[in-house]
Amino acid sequence: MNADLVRYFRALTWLRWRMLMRTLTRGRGRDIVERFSLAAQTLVPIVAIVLMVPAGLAIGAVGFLAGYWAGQPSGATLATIVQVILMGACGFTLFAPLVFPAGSEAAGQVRLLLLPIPRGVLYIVQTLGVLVDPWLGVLLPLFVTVPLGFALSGRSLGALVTLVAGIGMLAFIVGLAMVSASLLQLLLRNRRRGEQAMVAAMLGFMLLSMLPSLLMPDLDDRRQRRRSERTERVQDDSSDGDRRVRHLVSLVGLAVPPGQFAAAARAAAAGRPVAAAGWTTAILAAAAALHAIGWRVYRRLIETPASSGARRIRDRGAPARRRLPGLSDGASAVAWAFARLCFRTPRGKIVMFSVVLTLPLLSVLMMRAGELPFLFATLRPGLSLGIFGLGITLLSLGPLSLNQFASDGAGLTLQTLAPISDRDLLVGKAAGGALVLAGPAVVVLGISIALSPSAPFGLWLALAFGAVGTYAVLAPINSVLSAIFPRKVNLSSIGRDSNPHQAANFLGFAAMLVAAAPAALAAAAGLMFFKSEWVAALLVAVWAAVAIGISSVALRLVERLVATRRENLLFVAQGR
Amino acid sequence: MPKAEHPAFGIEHSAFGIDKIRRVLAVETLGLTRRFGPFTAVDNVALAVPAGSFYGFLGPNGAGKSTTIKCLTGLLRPSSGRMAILGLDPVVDPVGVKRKVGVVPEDLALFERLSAAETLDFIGQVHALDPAVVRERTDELLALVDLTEAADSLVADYSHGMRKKLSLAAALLPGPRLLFLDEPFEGIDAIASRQIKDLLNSFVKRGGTIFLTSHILEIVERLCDHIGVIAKGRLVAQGPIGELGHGAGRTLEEIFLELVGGGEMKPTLDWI
Repeated sequence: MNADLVRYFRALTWLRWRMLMRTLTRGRGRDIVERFSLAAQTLVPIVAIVLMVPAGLAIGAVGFLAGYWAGQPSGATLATIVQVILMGACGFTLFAPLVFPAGSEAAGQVRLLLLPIPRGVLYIVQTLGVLVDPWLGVLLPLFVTVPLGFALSGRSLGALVTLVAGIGMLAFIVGLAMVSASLLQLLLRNRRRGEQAMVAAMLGFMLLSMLPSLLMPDLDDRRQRRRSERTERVQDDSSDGDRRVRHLVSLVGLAVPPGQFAAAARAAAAGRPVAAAGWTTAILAAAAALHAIGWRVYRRLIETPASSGARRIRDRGAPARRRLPGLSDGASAVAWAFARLCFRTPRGKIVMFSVVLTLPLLSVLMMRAGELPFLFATLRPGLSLGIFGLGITLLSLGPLSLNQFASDGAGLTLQTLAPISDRDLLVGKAAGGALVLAGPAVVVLGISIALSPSAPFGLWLALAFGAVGTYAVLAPINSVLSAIFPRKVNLSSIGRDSNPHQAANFLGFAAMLVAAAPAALAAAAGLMFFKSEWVAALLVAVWAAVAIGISSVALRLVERLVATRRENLLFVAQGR
Repeated sequence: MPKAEHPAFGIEHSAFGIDKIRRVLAVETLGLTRRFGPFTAVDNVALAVPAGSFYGFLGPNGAGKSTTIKCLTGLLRPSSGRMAILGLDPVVDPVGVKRKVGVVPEDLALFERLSAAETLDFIGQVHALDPAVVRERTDELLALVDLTEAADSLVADYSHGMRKKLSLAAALLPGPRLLFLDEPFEGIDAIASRQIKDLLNSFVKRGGTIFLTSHILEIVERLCDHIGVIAKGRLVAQGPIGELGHGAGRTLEEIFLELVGGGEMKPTLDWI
């Protein structure tokens, strides 16, 4: 049995390692453009892995010093840092499967089930396999160096306690990884349920990340008030309140293993072996409980690894089809297909939700900031919100518009087989993007106007024309970047699997700044030289018309590029 | 394209004049070659698919069947050679060719996030068909392939067989004169398979042409009147199925194995 376990462990470790290496060696490109694209894509994981080495060394050093100086005043801060690192590791373990989706691993689970490996052994070797994940490699030095620090400072009890507690902590993190990954895979077995969870989680993260920004100024005000009160009174009620809050936070911290690890180390340093043993036992118990849950969830997963749930059957109605004004049938069909792709994938939904959700935060920030200088004018909060909001709206489309061909998957083959010219394909994609952006852009403008209703109407017009001009310039650029840097994506994921090529992302952002500059300069010229917001609006409108003309000509050039890249795009879209 | 240069023309065809040959051939290629780097997937293939025929294109795995279909349908650009699809050159007039043909490709070419009804509507719109006509044809096609109940479910939720049936419906919707079908019966249940066979036969009887690849020799034997056999990228035989020796005491399997050399292989895995 032991020999089997070692053999399975070796095989699965090798499998994980090969998978990792495959992300670094993405195969040979079919032409020089694809080779360049692949090389650029490989750069980021290589840099990430290289950065892990100094990160691991730094964490190891912090752990050593925390152990060496434990019980001394200088060691207290380091112990807190260790606790924060462990908390961070637990948080990452818990939420990483959402960002680095394990959906594709479901097929791997089926393959593993077909192998002659008992399920219990499979769980054990999968658990051990987590240990060789690179991100955990960054953390591992901590569990060695903290006991080492204790040992070298001559405190063998502390070394023993932190060694055992460290093993327990490691088991806890691995268990957490198994539980979260298995739970997510269970959730993703049903596509709709999984996607709803993805969108909900992403929106939840966004809302949570906004809270500090929304609350921060109030907190600052409160702190300021307290500071001034303290200067007047040495002792007051609020400091008691602070102490109570701090006590509560420390109690909550002690309820989770990272806090228990720090408590065990502190108890060992203070020469309280019973307390140290108690905290260590608590960690080991938590790890055992987590693995019991992990095993149950994993067993449930591997018993039915590929359930996709029932299909939803609805009453049939004629599909909404409208020929868009000024567009051919083919271009309109492509535009609607693009818009539907956006409305029906988690990543696409986030394009719209993120803009709408960001608006309250931006509104509050703009209201707090008051009037802001912008080139040669002073902007009221509503106008500032409009500029930032429309900028975010344009940027948010990136995941789809910067990979507009490959993101269609097999749908790209359908479009290639259909009697659609390259021009119709490109115009349709651009129009589809505009369809998607129209809703959030109208919401942004509406809220912006509501925020500063007295702002000159000419400036609102300038803002709207500016957005149109910027998108007109961006559309062919995004098509070029999509053609040169295609990437097979899974738009059901909200993490890196759905991101466009990094090079396209970076260049797309730079292009947006460049594309927005003429509109900003036209508006500034109207305000500075003619002192009239109506002239500013007129100049921006003229620019928007010119931009549409430029875009039309540019799309003809892009047509040729797409024609030469068509085969590569089809191959990439199919994941070959 | 002088007659003497075309090695694929059989005796029957060579009796016609060149213009007539062009009229009667739905697909013709000369020297069709496609290379991927140093590897030649399709090597100097000369196809002659008579209009109104049910043409089975056979070959072992990796022989170049799908690559040939991809070249013919415009998904791949040939490295060299000439092609004519219904008298049009797909390299010169790709959109014109696509208006006349329907294709069920290897990857089925479906948008994951459209429903069956929306997929067919998409096809109808790019072919500039009247919405009422699309609606009518959609209903008929979905009923035929037994997808009416799932018409509004996303393709992402479909099984492989359902996807295949939808892909076939999408190929048929615009009323093409020529169908390219890459393994159309793979993953299809027996009932749907029978319905599809009947449908394809009636399509051919009405003057349509079908170019089909399949690994299932029995299906080809039963449906096709012409076959072409490709091995290692080269066309090794082509013509009416009867002229290749079929029916004269020989099955298509025997002919096929003889042509591609598979009959010589003997299992040597004594440890099984």
